[in-house]
Amino acid sequence: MLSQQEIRQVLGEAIRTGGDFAELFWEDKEEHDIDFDGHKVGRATTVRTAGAGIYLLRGEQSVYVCTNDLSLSSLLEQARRAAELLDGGTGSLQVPPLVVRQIVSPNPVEISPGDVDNARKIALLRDVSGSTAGYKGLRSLGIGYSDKDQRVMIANTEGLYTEDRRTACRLRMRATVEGNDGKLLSRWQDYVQPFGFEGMRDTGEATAFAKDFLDRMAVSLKAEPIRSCTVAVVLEAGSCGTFWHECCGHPLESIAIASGSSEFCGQLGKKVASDKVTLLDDGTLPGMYGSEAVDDEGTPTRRNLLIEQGVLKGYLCDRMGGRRLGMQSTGNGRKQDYTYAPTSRMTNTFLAPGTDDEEEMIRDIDRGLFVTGCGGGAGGREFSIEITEGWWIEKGKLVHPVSGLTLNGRGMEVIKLVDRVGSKLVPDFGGFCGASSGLVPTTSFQPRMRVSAMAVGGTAE
Amino acid sequence: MMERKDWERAFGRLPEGIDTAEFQAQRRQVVSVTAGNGKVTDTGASSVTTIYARASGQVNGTACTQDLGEDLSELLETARRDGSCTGGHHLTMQGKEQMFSGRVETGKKVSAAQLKQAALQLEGKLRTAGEFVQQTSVTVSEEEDVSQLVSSNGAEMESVSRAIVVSVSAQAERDGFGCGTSFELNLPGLESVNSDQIVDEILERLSLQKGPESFTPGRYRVLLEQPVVWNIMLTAWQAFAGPRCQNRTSCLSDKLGQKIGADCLNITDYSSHPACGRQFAFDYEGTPSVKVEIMRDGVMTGMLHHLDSAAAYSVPSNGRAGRCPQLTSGIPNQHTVTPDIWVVEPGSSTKQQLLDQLGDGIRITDSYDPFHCLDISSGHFSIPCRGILYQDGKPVKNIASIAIHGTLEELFRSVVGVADDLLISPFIMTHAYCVGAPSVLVSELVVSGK
Repeated sequence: MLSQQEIRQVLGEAIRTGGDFAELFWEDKEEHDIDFDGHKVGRATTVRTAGAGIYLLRGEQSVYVCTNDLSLSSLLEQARRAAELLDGGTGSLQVPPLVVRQIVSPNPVEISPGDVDNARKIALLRDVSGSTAGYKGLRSLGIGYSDKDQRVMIANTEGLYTEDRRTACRLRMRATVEGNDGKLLSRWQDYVQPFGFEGMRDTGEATAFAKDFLDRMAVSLKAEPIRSCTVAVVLEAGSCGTFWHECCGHPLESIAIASGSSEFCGQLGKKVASDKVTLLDDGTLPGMYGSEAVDDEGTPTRRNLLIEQGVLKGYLCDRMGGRRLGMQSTGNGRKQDYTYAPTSRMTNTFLAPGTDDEEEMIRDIDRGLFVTGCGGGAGGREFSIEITEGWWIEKGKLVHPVSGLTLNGRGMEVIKLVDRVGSKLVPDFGGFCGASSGLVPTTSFQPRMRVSAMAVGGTAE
Repeated sequence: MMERKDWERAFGRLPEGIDTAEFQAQRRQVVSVTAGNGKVTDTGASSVTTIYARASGQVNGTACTQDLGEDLSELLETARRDGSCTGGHHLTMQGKEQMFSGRVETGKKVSAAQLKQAALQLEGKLRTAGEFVQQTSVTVSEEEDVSQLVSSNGAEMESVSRAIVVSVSAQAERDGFGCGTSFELNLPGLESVNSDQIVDEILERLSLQKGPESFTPGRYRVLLEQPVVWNIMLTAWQAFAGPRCQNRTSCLSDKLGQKIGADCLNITDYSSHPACGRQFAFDYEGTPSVKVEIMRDGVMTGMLHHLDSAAAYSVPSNGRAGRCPQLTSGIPNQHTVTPDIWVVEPGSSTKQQLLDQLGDGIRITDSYDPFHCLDISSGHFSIPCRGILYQDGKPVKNIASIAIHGTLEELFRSVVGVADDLLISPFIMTHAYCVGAPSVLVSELVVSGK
């Protein structure tokens, strides 16, 4: 690691051609992965990521250079490279003395995963795998264990010096099951604990997760296709919050607003959704996968109100996105690692609880769909979400599980049709969101809620 | 990259239980310039080297690092430590004589100034191409991928591949309807950037988007435009992965040598292609990457193999050992196969000729999210998309929030025409491979929507 004097030297070199801001992002991350196929350990490996990036801004122009040669001479060379790429000019900005600003992490670490030997991690995998023995129709089950311990340092020409540590342990279940009719179904799901290895202490919780994963696949094997229709759709509490991530979250990122690719452009203060909708993004929530002390630009994470009772209140901004929109960063400048420039990304995005009765919103439906599991999706003007699990509703009752469905539409149209929001907010384990600054950990969750009418793409004829 | 003295010292004192070892250094250098509204908005330069170690013997293990100060002997020791808990898991290595040998370099270097000029020129042309175009962004990058692999059995190889990647996006508004489009191209050099063709492609994609109307779901004859076929193939190649076929988690597990597609359908995985800048000389096991004929005249003729899956089928590896970031968000380190340049071979018809044959049908113009919409084990797909309803060969109305459904084999069998509009684009999430696709005409697909 460089001394503070050396960091100032690198930043000073970067701004010599007229940059009005420079930042040094330094990363050292260790990951351990172990593959277990249900009987034996397939592979165990250690991955070390180490490198630094220099982010240089002048007005609304940016330069990002990165390297994993961490010597002072290399970083000075990269700083000169960045200055040259900024294209001319002479800088008068001075780098002030750095002031340490330390924010307490919402996800503190008790046991460093790197201090736990592989034998203990393999024992965990054997316990979880053993709990699934004898499952009828299980053709293959793989469980991967993965942990990461990322330490970052961010310093900039505003005098900021801050550090953060992001740690998580994860089990990824991958299963293929076969139905009585020979039908195959493959699926994967992650059990994530955004802490040190203490998050995996409770083996019972992980085994319950694995059993539930296979039980749900067994239900999906019995699923029947339905015809395309436009019906009321109830989305279950918890991870069905993917809906908000795709149909609102991405279009509210400043990169989408600044590029004109979002329907939320110019809508601040206007009614964009039904009164039932209050949407937040909060990177400070303890124990959540999308939480961090600071974002990847050193800005403290915070609770951001995006939509309040249907009125658009804010966007998610990184530093540059904020500049382009004439706003401040909201603590959402994020990236996968030092090889990416930061951009606006979600953290923990969720629909605030309402007051509606969870049972009534199904009981009240003549024909409709109850979505209990979402896969991934894509956002933009038009969003799409894969429905992995769901039930067909007839006269207020769940009739049969359904398969082969997608939900897609224009976000701005659909969120106006939210007519019920339940009172029980249920978090989810979270996963990775992929966009222009790579994969970042996020969660998206909600209480049970209902859209009064939505196009459902079904395969039955 | 790695120094000879460093790897020779590490190979000279292999850890206990290790008989043979390999190091691979991969360096990726990218210089990119983004232009918007007549100005350079973002510039980037990166140089990242990752070193992978594989160790085999009584103990078998792998490790990788981006810490360039890390001693290669220590990296082997990490691989031994991790491998010692795997219960005898075998790590397949091969002899020097089966491995690639020597050095190969493709593509020529360009300067940041040339990239800037190209980006500004293309962005300017695109921004002024139509009154309805509102915002445009063009990124032109030079990507240099260097791979150096050495083994304790004396094999040494190095490849350098340079490509120009052009990323174009545009937003437009027509009659109050906001729309946008974007795509990337992987090209051999700046001289291959055909700005007229790129601008025409963007304008066509924008002009095809209008406010949607309702339609009747059902079975339709469909024209899948190039981006839709590209999207499907981005995931569908996994059905032809040797390891998946071997462990029977692919819908095409038992189909090698069988007719699974229409006569006009041919798929090839190239290690180099004249329309693509990225080239692949050898895989991470040191096997030379060769051209693989995956489907010929509708018959499944090949699979993607690494050493283990090739051995299971008693064939030589075709050099597709790859790494994927399955468990981590960082460096790809999971043993798998990956394609190099996966191409659905273009036909001899123009897209207009296929449109003329559409009659009553749907022109699917765009699709989203290929990763979550295709189940490789069953072959089922439900892909969200948008398109245009045609009657008597004429466009009638736009339809959106629709999805196409079926199985991969049904789709392959139903292809009745392949256009000549091949475009090859990189998979930008991992940069591991490229996919090329033309538009295809399909006799029947289930289309859902409102």
